[in-house]
Amino acid sequence: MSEEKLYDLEQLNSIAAGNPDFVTKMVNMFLDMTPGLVDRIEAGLQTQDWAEVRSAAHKMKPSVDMMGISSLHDVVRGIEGNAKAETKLEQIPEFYFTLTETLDKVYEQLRNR
Amino acid sequence: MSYLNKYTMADNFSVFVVEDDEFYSEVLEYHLSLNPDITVTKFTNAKEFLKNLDKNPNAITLDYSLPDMSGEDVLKKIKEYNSEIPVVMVSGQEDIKTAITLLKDGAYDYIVKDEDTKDRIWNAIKNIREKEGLKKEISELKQQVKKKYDFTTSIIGNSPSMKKVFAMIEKAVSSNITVSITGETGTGKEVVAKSIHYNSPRSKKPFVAVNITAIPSELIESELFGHEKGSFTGANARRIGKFEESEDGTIFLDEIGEMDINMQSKLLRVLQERELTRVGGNGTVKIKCRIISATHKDLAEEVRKGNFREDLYYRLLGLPVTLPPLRERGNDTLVLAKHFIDEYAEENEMGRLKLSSKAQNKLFKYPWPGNIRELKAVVELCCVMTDSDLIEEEHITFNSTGSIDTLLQNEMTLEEYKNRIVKHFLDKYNSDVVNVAKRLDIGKSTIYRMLQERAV
Repeated sequence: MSEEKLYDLEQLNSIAAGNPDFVTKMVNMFLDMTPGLVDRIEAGLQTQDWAEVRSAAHKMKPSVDMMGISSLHDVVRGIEGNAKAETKLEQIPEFYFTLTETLDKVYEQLRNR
Repeated sequence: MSYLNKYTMADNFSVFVVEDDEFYSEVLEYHLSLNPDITVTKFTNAKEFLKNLDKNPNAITLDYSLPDMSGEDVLKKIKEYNSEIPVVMVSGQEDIKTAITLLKDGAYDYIVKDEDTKDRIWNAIKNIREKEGLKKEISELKQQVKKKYDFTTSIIGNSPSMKKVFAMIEKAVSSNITVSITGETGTGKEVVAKSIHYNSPRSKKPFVAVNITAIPSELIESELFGHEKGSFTGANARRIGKFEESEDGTIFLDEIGEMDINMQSKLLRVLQERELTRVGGNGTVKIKCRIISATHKDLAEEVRKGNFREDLYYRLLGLPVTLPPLRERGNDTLVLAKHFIDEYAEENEMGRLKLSSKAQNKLFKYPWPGNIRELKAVVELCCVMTDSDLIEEEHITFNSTGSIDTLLQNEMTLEEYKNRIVKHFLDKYNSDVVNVAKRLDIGKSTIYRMLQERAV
């Protein structure tokens, strides 16, 4: 049974212009740096440090977009936007849950690609 | 193509990518480095980057939100150090207010991080490179032009009449005075105008040449003074005129004697006020350029005949430079001929060519109605015609048609001359017999008879 693919490397492939090493390098970079950013969001949530939450979500945007994880497009922006405006803060944990759940699947899929 | 690339693209182009998001800067570096001429250096914070600013990169992409300094402050520091380096600001958020501030502070572009960013940065860098290449090309060409129009080498001649011309040019170069150049066709009026411009303090500013005869009279006003959008049918956009185009440089009004009387008064007003109004416009624009005019006509005579406004004549006269016709320049003909031969030989990578003494004599005796322009054409032709390194008499052919002097050299009968003259006019006026008869003040029937006898 095949699970739905949550990422799309088309954009990276087009930038790579035929160099698979570049794609591999970027995938590994994503796998290396994203968990650290997720940890920062979690820590920020626990201490209600919204600036920290905003900054970590902000930094996540380019890589999430570039990896073609379309289901997280609005999620990351939701966390960043709400944390920045400090409104609808109750939505953030929900976003966070979707984020970690999706990312775990993406990590798995990327490692087995 | 290779020429184009050589000049329009600066090679060894160094780009500094200042970006604290490693993922993003990695992508950017890879994308830009796909072009082998571009060298990318990455920095993750402002401090490190500013330390390396003295390496003078050709372009910088700068993340707006760096961890240790705001994008605005970094931009200011760059501009303080060297305002010439183009800086592309890259921001995570779209914020018009910030964008405007940054552009005002001298940023080259403001780009928001999204799916298209890499292409937009790529384009921005490409444009910067082209601009850089063009800048280099322009300064190289300016140097070349300056060299070309150094009047001690571009205007050649030892005759007393030319010595006077040199003295006048020297005076013109060191002042801002209006200059009027008179001389027959082909005597080098434009060369003199350019020499004055390129040896004067205005040499780095534009030299704009306008040939009055080349522009239809109904367009000349908008050509010289520009026009506003919609000022007449076909004026689809605002256009600046030649006077404005000249900025602080020189405008060269060639064949000024051909300007129609109506336009003369408009030009006079502009020269008097030192400001102009674009066609269809309201505001005025100051004129800062120097004016050099030229004509092959005797303007004083045109003034007497009522074809040229006296007040405009004096306004334009300034320092008068009279270029002597080649036939009055004595040995200069041969000096110039040798110069053109050498120039042609060099351009075409041929060996040294010489003129036989008979050939020299032939060149010397000819009246040169087309002056230096004709001499150059004749000399180039004989360089082609000769098979050895010696140019003989028979290699020289004159094909001038215009001048009476040349025509008289043919020593034809009066009947033959008559036929030549009528034929010339018929050719000129599309065989319009009525018109030609009127112009030559002869009967139509005379022309019809000549046509019947196939004399013309």
